[in-house]
Parts: sequence; structure tokens; C-alpha cells
Amino acid sequence: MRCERCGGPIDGNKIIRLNGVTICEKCARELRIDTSLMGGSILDQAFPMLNELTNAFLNPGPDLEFANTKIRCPKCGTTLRDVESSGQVGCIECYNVFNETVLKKILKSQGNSEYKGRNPGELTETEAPVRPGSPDEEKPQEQPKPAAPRRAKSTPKEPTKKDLLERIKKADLGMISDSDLEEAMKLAAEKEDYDLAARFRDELKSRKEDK
Amino acid sequence: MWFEDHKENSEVILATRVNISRNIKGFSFPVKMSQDEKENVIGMARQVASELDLPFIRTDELDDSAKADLFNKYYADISFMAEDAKTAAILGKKDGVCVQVNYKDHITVESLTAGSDIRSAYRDAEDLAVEFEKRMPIAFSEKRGFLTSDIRNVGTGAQISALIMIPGIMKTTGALSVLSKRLEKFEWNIKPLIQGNDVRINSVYIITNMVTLGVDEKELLDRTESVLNDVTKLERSCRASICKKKSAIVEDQYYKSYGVLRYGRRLELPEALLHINWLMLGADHVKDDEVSLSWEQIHKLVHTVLRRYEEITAKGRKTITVPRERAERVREIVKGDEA
Ligand SMILES: [Zn+2]
Ligand SMILES: [Zn+2]
Repeated sequence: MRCERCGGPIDGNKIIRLNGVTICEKCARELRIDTSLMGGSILDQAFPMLNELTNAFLNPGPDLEFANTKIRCPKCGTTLRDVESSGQVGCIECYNVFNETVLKKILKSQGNSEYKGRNPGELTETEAPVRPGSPDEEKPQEQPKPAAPRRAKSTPKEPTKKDLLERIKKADLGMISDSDLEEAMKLAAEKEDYDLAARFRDELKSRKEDK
Repeated sequence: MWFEDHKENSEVILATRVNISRNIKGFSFPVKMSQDEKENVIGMARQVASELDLPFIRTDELDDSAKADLFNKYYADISFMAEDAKTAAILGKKDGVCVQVNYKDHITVESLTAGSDIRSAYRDAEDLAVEFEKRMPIAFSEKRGFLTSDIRNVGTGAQISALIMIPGIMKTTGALSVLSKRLEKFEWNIKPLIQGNDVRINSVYIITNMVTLGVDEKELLDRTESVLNDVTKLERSCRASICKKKSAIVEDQYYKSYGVLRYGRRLELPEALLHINWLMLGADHVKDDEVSLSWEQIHKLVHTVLRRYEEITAKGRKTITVPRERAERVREIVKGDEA
């Protein structure tokens, strides 16, 4: 899993989703600052829990990850900060210059970082593998293996809270009180079900607009 | 146009896209190139295009309607065709295949297909990419594979993505998170095509493969096939269950939506999408001889609403004319061949 904003790797336990976009904690932090300055952006007020979430992730230690930001590619002038913020490099030489810093982390986040693809000018065999039996009958062992899961299982919640969430999930949102919705939004966020949380948030927001 | 075809799974997978990025040794990537270097690369690409007998187009020689044509077919973005971009496009022999020169990488081969046929889309892209690889010194390392300007792309340099429309999943509680988790397992990313909190526009997503290292192209295609089949299966079962449980509502909404799209005089984007969602949901459920709307028509509707150069560049007259023109185009499509 990589950050869609900066391309940096994301620790499986610290995935942050914003409006369907996955970002790393560092970017979440940056965005929070940005949005407080700019206002009116998609992130502004969009997700009330974000601040709490990101604060929880902000462990006191200093930002060691990319401490040395003075590194610069001698050929094209790209800096480590450029690479960090855009995920882009300027030339082939950059791959050597930034190898030890940002690249290694990103390549590592792809699990096995060895290149296994074809060489230039070679063709790939693209025919579908022939599977025995009818095509509708899926046999799980023949499916390509999904990547290893990288996130911890969510811990079970106490039954009363869970009940509220389940009940609201099934109910017509229009019938739920503001306070229940707010509670449910928090619960959904705790369970990292940000899509659900966003639905509740939208409902709450539209109510405020209607008033 | 390629996206109007009704192909396997295209009622869910609006489009499958393969981008293969290649760079030429000896040049910086476009973001760090001088205008002269860009001219050099354009010259080299033009040479290859002429050897392959393919149309070569400099974007700085295009008028607005030609730009609209490239954009509306998903061959080029607005920034790609910016005035001083020094970019060029090469059109493939097949509809849906093109090459962007000097965009983010020197050469980006793009192949698009309606539906989920990743193998043929990939085949078309790779065949053309190989022609460039044979004729140019390519930036490649044994250890890292093809070197690209975006470090997330290094390796195969192949980015696979799909444009999916999932009104059924969006109307089914919890289904989107099932989908997200499934995609996550395969290291695919999902994000909405249009950012915003309006539920009406929340049915169109882009899903993208994130893995370019550690797997070969064959495995990449197998995984993609699984992902696209999973998405289709989930959306289909959501649509079927909604149509079964809420048959009367779906029918009612289908006809109302048809009416709005067929006769409306002003259509904002969210409103148009809302009604297209209902048409998609009900398309295989509502049987009627009077109201006939083919999947080809629905596909055409979706794309004319989602991707329109004239709208994006409309600027000042946007609020007044765009909804009117949109409604006009939509009416034309829905009307179809009816007498
Ligand atoms: Zn980030
Ligand atoms: Zn460089």
C-alpha cells in the first residue's frame, strides 16, 4: 500500500482514507495544515475525525524518515524533497542518487522488489490459462494469489456499540437522530470503515445545510 | 468510438486502460527536459511513427475541435495539450490505441477497451510498445526494469486501470467496503472519478493496479482478470438483488429517469449521472417494448456526460450553456433511431 499523494509507503496499521484516497500519515498531517490555511478544499471540515486520527498517529519522535533533504541529483537537479512530494524523478541518474533514501522504501513496499518482467523488445504470452471445468465454477486454488494482507485485524467492539452501528447501517438514515448518527460516525471511523463514516457525515452535513 | 461497444462486463467496467511508459536513454524525463531536447524526442518518435505508418500529430498544431476529439476519446489530457507543452500523439491502427510523446515519460503507449478484456487491451499496448523498444535505446535496468519518471511505475512500467460504474454497490450497505477490501488484497487502489460529497456522483470510480515489481506481465494480467471479474460479479449481484427486492421502485425510477434524459432541457452533471445510474440498474430488469434503450446507448450517454472537452474549457459561459448543451446531446442519444 502506497500513499497516493507522495508515493511513500504506508504502514498497514496506519492507513488513512480520505474521500476514497489513501494517504500516509505524513501527508494527512500536511494536508491538515494546508487546508486550515486555504479553507474550502475537499478536506476542509470534510472529516471531523481526521484531526483526532492524525493526532493519534503523531508519535512524539522527530521526523527521522527523510531527515536529509539536501540530497540533489547532479544531473537534473531534482531534490529529495521533490521526489518525496511528487513521487517523480527527473532522470535515470536520479534512480542511483535517491536509491538509499526514498526509493528503497518504495520498492520494498511492493513486497518482492526484484524486477520480474520482460526485457525490452520481448513479447509476453498473453493467452488466458486454460482452466479445467466450466468457467463459471471458480476454484479458489486456481485464482492468482492476492498479495499478503498487511493490515491488522480490527479488534471486536463491545456488543452495545456494535448494535447501534448495525442498527443504523440497516435503517433509513432519515429516521436516525443527529446524536445517534454522530455516535455511529465515530464508531465507523474506529472500525476504519471510512466509507460508512463518510455516509453518516454526508447525512449530517446535509441536515445542517437544510436548516 | 471504442467506448460505445457493448463488450464482456462493460455494463460495469466502462473502460479498461493499459498505459506502458518507456523512456529513451540519454535524455532527462520530460519534466526536466529543455525545449530542444523535447524537439529531439519528438523527432525520434516521428521517425518511428513513419516507419510503422501511423499518423503523427503535434499538439501545438491542433485546433480546438481536434483537441476535443483527442480528449473525448481519452487519448489526451488537457495539460498534455497545453500551449507550450511540446507534446505529440501517435494514433494506433486500432480505435482505442494511441501513443503520447513527451507527457510524463518520453513514450506512453495507451490502449483502451470497453469492458474487461484486459488481455486484448494489453496485447495491443505491448505490441506497439515493443516496436518502440526495438527502435530506440530504452532506459532499462536488469534489477529495476523499465525506468519511469514516476517511481511508483518503475519495473514493468505498465499501469493498468479501469473505469467502473457501480450504482448497485453504492446502493447496497457495506458493499463498497467489501469491494475496497478485495481490491486492497490485490494491491489495487480505488478512488472516485469525481471528488465531492454529492451521493449522485458517487457511482463512478477508477481502480488502478499498484504493483509493477516482483511480478511478471503474465501474473499481472491474471491478477487483473480476477480483479475485474470480482468487481463485475459483486456489482451484478447487487443490481440483481436491488431489482428483485425493490422491483417496483427500480421500475418507477427507470421510467422517470428515461423521461428526464429523453425530454429534459437542462441537465447538471450530478442530475444526469443520477438518472444514468437508474437506467443502468434497471436496464436488464425493466422489459418494455415502447421504451427501448440499448447498452450501446447507455455507454454513449455515460461518456458524453463524463468526458467532454467543450465543457471543461467552457469557462465563462459554463453555467448557462453547458447544462443546456448537455441536455441536448443526451436527448439525441436517448432518442436513438426511434421514429
Ligand atoms: Zn504521503
Ligand atoms: Zn536526476
